[in-house]
Amino acid sequence: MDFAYTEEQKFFQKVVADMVEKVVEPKAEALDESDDFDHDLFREVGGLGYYGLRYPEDVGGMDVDTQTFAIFIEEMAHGSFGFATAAMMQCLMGTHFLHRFGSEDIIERLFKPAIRGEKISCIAFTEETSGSDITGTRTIAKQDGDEWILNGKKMWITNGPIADFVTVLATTDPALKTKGLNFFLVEKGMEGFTYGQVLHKLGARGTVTGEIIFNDVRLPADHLLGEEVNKGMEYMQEVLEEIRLMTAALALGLARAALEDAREYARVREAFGKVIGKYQLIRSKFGECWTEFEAAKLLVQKVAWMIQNKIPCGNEAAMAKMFATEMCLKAVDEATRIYGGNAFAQEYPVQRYFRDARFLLYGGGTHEVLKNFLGSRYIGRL
Amino acid sequence: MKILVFVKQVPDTEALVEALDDSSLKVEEKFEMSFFDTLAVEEALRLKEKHGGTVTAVTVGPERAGEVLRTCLALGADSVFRIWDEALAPVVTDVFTDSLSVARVLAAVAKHLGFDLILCGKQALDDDAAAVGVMTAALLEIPFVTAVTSVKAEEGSIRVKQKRDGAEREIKCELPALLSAEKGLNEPRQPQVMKVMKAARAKIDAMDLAALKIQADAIISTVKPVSFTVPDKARSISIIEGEPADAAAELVRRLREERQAL
Ligand SMILES: Cc1cc2nc3c(=O)[nH]c(=O)nc-3n(C[C@H](O)[C@H](O)[C@H](O)COP(=O)(O)OP(=O)(O)OC[C@H]3O[C@@H](n4cnc5c(N)ncnc54)[C@H](O)[C@@H]3O)c2cc1C
Repeated sequence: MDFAYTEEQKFFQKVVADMVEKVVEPKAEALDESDDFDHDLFREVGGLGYYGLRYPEDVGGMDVDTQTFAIFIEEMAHGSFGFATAAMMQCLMGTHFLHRFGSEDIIERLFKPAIRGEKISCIAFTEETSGSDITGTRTIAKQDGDEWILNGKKMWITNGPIADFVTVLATTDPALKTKGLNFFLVEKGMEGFTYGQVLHKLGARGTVTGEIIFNDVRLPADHLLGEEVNKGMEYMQEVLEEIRLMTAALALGLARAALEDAREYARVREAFGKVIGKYQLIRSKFGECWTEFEAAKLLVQKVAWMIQNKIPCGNEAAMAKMFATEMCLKAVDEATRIYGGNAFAQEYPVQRYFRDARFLLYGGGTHEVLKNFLGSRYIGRL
Repeated sequence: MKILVFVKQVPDTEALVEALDDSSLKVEEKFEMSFFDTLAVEEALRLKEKHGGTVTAVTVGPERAGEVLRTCLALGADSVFRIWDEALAPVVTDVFTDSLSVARVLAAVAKHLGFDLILCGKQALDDDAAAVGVMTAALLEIPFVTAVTSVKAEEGSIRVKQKRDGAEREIKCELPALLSAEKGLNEPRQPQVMKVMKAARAKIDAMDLAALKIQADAIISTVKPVSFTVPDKARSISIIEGEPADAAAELVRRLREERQAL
């Protein structure tokens, strides 16, 4: 058993941390304030090759192992959580189904430019009336000869309103529930594809999140992303573990940012004649958070190892996502306590961490759903 | 053009440095390439991209220092050399560098590898000695220009600028030469992931003194640290009350008289 990063992973971590510190972090506050998408930053990070980390070299990727990819996500979240969510979308959910099922034309025209940071991708599951429950999907795809006609609305789509292309979850028949789901590719500029409301978010700001609308959008045959019709749920399962793992990695990065800032503050802030880091009640916060951080990190490392070695890890990935998120929520909460009233000031970043962390509750599965899932797995069939 | 760059690994600016007692320091295991050296590397790469040639990075340091060379490879250096030898251990430590010893080694490396131009940082961020560059140039008997803020290569010579406090001086200098990089020279690039992954797998070889035909007993430091004193932990903050003009005058007085800062 070996828990240490390899020499390559260590070097990669150092390079990414340095890039994030110099390129991403200086923009974190402005991204949060404006909630606008920073196209220059997006292109710059893409130009360095980061969005292709998990893809093979023959399509312009870097073919890194899952742990190395998790290191990237963690470091990005350490610098700017909002931007990290956009980067993760581009590296993973927004491009995965194009790579897995895209025709040569789709790979050349959309996928390759996307991993270079020249096109913006997104994924659309959620609708106004369905989130956790994807069997509630009402966006409908009807076959018409060789083509498909798409109708429906998606809500809460990260970068949906500005994306160059969208991977859309749609059903061929709602009555088929999970057995009617499919992924379709919709491109900007296609007739009938528009966007609606843009949401004003509490945290994870710096992406344009909102509603996208499909009104009789005609799609060529190769825009069904799948080898067979109605296999969307299976295809989704293939990547779900990785999405949950990377959500956990986001939590690690954000928690670390909060704890490091809080530590800095505890070292210099004085109260009653001593720096507050000397008080046991303050120390105990670090004692607990640091321990839980390490435990979350171990889960992340284990799941990364399982995915890398193709060991099924649906349970462990759900645990990692949930545990890392709860750890992060506690860390940002404790950080705001350590900062005292200053935590309440926009002038300090802790309030941003506090708001950002809330996103982790929803992305990658809510904890009510995950606990229910894990509990039923543990108890077994009744 | 054959360009050599000298780089030094220094404690990270955020690394904690503790005094164990008054003659030894402990540095947190966090290191980075000295800031001015990153400018030298970037300038070397830009010159190569414009005029062709090769960039070779060299450091003198223990195994951990290989990391800065890996970074040079990730940025685009063609080759790297780490020079180390047990005989160097007493003169290159975590908290002290004997400049003359290092300059002797680097001069030998430069002769061994051959070069048209050498670049280094104007000073190392840990000891601020600003000595290795100038000493190496002296040992090699080549021209040295310090703290350059722009470099332009010409046929057989180089034109550099030194900018300071808004004033600027232009200097022409014959090659081979050694230049030291000043802040403002360039904005170092971020490495491409492709090169990072390649550099991560590269083997960083070490050369010892014998390979450079340097006698170990030539490395004798006549300069040694005797004691260290760390700065006051928490410098107290004082708030100067009163009308802004009076408070500013008081601030100037204190900076001048109490801190000798002005
Ligand atoms: C910032 C942000 C960005 C997002 N980006 C995207 C995106 O790019 N693409 C996309 O498709 N979606 C996106 N989403 C949506 C996100 O995926 C959903 O919010 C998430 O799936 C939860 O769905 P919901 O919000 O509809 O909540 P619901 O599913 O309606 O849940 C409401 C409540 O009911 C509970 N609940 C639901 N089912 C059960 C159950 N079986 N047992 C017990 N309790 C249950 C939930 O836990 C929750 O407490 C984003 C959300 C946010 C906040």
